[in-house]
Order: sequence, then structure tokens, then C-alpha cells
Amino acid sequence: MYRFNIYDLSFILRGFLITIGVCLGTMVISSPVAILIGLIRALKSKNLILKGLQSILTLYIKAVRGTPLMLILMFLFFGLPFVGVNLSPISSGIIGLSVYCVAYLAEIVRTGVESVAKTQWEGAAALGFTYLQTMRAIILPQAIKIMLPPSASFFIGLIKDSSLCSVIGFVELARAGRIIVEKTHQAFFVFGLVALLYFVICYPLSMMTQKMEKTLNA
Amino acid sequence: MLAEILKLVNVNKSFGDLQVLKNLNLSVNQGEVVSIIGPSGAGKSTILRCINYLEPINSGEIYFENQSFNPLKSNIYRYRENFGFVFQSFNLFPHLSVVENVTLAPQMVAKIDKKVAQETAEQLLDSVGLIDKKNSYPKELSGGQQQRVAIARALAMKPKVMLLDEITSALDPEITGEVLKVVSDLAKQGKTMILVTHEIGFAKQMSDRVLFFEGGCIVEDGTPQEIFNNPRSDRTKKFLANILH
Repeated sequence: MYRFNIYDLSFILRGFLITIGVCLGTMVISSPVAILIGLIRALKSKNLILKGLQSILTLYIKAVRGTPLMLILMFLFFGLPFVGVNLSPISSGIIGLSVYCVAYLAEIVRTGVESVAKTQWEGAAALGFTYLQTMRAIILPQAIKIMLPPSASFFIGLIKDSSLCSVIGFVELARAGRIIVEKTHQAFFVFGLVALLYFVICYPLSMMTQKMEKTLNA
Repeated sequence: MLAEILKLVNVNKSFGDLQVLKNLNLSVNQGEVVSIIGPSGAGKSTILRCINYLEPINSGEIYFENQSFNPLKSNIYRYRENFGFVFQSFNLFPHLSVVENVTLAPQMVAKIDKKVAQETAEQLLDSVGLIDKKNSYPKELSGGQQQRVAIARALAMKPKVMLLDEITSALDPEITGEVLKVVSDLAKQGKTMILVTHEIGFAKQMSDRVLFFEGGCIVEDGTPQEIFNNPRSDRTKKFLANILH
């Protein structure tokens, strides 16, 4: 019988690092975009151009939220080559996860900003603060506290959802596990190890979330 | 003759179909303390909110120091610095300490040097009796203390007119006094103030003028003696009879 060896382990660890890399890449790309979109959606204005832009962004968020992540990934990797866009598995993965992430995070940002009491805007306006000054010094510092816990939970979900990237053929942690199981037939041990590795990434994040919720509610 | 500081001419304000201010005319002199009384929902607060343009008016003119204010031509943010607004619900910034609440606008809006802003803030907090709370956060203070911080915060911008919108309505009667004392100190210093209030005794004692406001109009305008002792209109009589029992 084939024995699980150090090469198998290093193969799985390589998948582990790729999962971390893809998730970090997604977070780095999607966070600023999501903040921008969320803030634009939170603007109250009668400006027609802005309203048009807001409708487009709303449509995007609704479309993404109504589509399975796996489909987004397959569309990018298998679908786009038909219109002449060839993406590598890893870039399809990062782009697909980002498209998905931005939609949800933007909503967290928007609702966070909107949940700061309207009277805070008035209090600031009465003192002569402009829109941007109010946003920067008064609304965002309060909104961030509201946004952090759900964002952290969402990122935990993202790490696990990144396993769907295995359908487009790149070897992240879950796929690496399957390949090693096929080779060694030690499903219990190998999948157990893979689960443990996901846990190793997610646990600190969920501890952080808990801690944040405690300090923010204090 | 005192100089006129603020004048409203034929000001109209509606919320949808509801006309809250009907051709309102009002003139306030430098150093005057004007109390606005009247039944709830009459639009008393709306007058104050229109004066500093928290609410845009539908028509009419607002003159400040003899200059007509036009939000399309003038800078609305600079205009608002003329007024210190104190809200019924305090509206302190909960993520900032007491002293930061007071220094933020001077530093960020008026671009005053940090050290100067800090010194002014400490003087103001001292004058409202809260210097020992300067590093506390709003949620650690009682309602009366929060409202005194809110007054200090408004004063830190060195406003020419104070607008006080039912500032004791959210407080329990026992601590109303500490806030009213701060306001009467300001009156003694000659600060121009317009206040919407349900504290009839306070209005009577402090004001140079009292306006009885109902149905979008000023029904009666006179000295406290005239309004409270010899009201001319039947509506004012009825209102006073109801609230004074």
C-alpha cells in the first residue's frame, strides 16, 4: 500500500499557500472597490448621472447575488475564451472571487454608513462641516465599527468558498487534497488534514471577529 | 438703537403638502433673547432649522447682518458658522471624547490651531462646569451633562447667534436646571439667542421677547409681560391657560 509521504504533504501545503494567496489577493482587490461602490450607493443626491451610476451598481449587486459563485468562476474561465479573453485559472479565480466579494462587501459598507444616525449628519452640518469632512471625521469612524464584524465573517466565508476554484482546474487546498486522496487512498487522513488547514486560516479570523464584537459593544 | 442681526422676510416652507411656515416675518436684534413658544407640531423647530439652512426654504429671504443669504451664490458652510445650533437630542459625536467633540469643528472647519482650539475648549468646558469630564465619552455622561457639552461645542465656533431647539425636552426635570443655568449665563453675557422652548417659566424670566407661534404664523409677539400677563389673542390665552393649568 502507498504511504502518505513528505512529497504529498508538501503538495498539500502548496495548495494551502495558494488558497491563502488567492484569498489575500481577492481581499486586497475587492476591499477598496467595495468601499468605493458602497459609498457611491450611500450618496443621497438628485444628480441624474449619479443616479444612473447608482442604478448600474445596484443591478450589478443584484446580478451577482443572484448567481452561484461556481457559475461566475466557470463563466470566466470556460466562457470568456469564446469572446477571445483567455484568463489563467489563477486570474479567473481571483477575478471571479473579487466580482463576488465586491457585491457583498459593498452592501456591508452601504448599510454601515446608512446605519449611522441621521442626526450625526445634522450635528455636523450645524457646525459647518462639508459632506466630505462629515464623512471622514464623523460618519466613517462610526460606520467602520459597524462594518468590521460582518466583513470579517464574510472573509471567513470567502476562504471556504475559494475551494470552488477547484472546478476551473487550479490546485488550491481542496483540490490538492483530492489529488492526494486519489493517489494515496487515505481519504480520512488527508481530508482531515485539509479540514484542519482550513480551520487554521479561519479560526484566527473568527476569534478576531468575536473580539471586535466584544470591544465594539463595550 | 440695537443693530438688527437677523431678518426673515416672507419665508415659506412646506413639507410636501403641509405648509409649515406661512409668509413668516421675523426680525432679531443683536443681543436679543427671543423665545418661541406654541403647541407641538406647529413648526417652531422648523423656524430654527430654516434660519441656519438645515432645511432649505421654499421662498422668501433671510438676511444675516443685512446681507441676503442665497444658498446658490454664497457658501452655505461658511454661513452656518454664524449660528450655534443645539439640538433636543444633543447629537454629540459618540466616538470622540468630550474635549474632542468641542475641538473638532474649530480645527477642521475653522482651521484653528490645535493648541488654541484646545485652550478655548477647556475654557468653555470650565464655563459649563464640565472640565473634569473632558476626557470622558458622551455615553458616560448624563443627559444634562451631554447637553452642556453640546452647548460648549456650539460656542467653540464663536457663533454670532445661538439657536436652541427644545434643549431641555429630553431631560428629566431635576437636571433641566443645570442646562438652563448655562443658557441664562449666556444671556447675561449678551449673546443673541433664539430658543424654542416648553419651559414657560424660563422663557418668562430670560427672554427679551416671546413669540407665540401656531399654524405657520407668529400669532403674538411681545415682551414676556405682554405675552404672559396680557395676551391679546384668544389662542394665546387658551394655550397659556392649558399649560399653566
